[in-house]
Amino acid sequence: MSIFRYAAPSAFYPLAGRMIPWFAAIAAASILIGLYWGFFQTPAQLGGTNPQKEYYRIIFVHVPAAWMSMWLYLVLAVWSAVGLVFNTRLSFMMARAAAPTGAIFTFLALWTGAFWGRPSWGTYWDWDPRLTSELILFFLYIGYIALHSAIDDARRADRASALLAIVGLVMLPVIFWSINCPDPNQCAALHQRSDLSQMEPNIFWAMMIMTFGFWMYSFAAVFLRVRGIILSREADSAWVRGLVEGKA
Amino acid sequence: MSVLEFLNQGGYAYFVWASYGAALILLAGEIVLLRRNHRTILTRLGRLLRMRTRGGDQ
Repeated sequence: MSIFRYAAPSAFYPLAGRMIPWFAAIAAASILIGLYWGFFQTPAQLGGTNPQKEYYRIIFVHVPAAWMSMWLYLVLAVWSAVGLVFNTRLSFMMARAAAPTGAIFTFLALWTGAFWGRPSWGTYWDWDPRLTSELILFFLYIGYIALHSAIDDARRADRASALLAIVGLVMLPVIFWSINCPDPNQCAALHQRSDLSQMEPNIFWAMMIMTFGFWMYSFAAVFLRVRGIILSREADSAWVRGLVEGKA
Repeated sequence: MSVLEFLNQGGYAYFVWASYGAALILLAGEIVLLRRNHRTILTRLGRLLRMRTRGGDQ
């Protein structure tokens, strides 16, 4: 028996079902610890000269959400590529299941960024390179989901939207280098060049724990969704019939 | 720190809680909807199966 056994939807369905409560519990625990740490064990302001006041605490949801928005897009594109190369059903289902959660995190990154931008930059929105590229990432997620649901034949939908996902991958380095470009003077960004090592340790660790929590949350949410997709798409198979008969 | 002080967030309550509120609503909401969706699929498949077995599954 190898791990590839779980490439079969019928084998992955119960495995995912057993793993969801664990991921959910770890996610809830890490987010609670991260929030406690972030709100009660951190200084009331961020930075030395001209510090950011309490509103900087948006960082504990903003940065993890933004990281997850990029990470889940990578997950979406990699599963799409695996699906196209090996023609495995479950890969496409995983890609499809990751997209809405990724879109939610992208929206959250934009939304929390707006509420951070208002007190710190004086504006909810600006066509700054990072904000703009993150907004395009959001549209890519929406485009992927829309394209997938616009094509009736699930297999064709898988392949067409997989191509879109892979092409859209070009946005990830754009988002990354929209701040961390080789020459900071070339990037007229509201975001400053990110340097994690300069961060106050408590703020850094609270942010990392929240990121871990969001990551575990993503596993739980994507597995929940993929189980639904598996059931719908394998509805005519004997194992789903057996499962439904057992439950009914 | 009092509860009121905590909620006030140094006067930035609106920005802080608008961010965390949206996160709570979206993430908790996603899980609730996914769980409900899963139950709906199972119910629908069960109904479909009963219809077919009664109809002789032509």
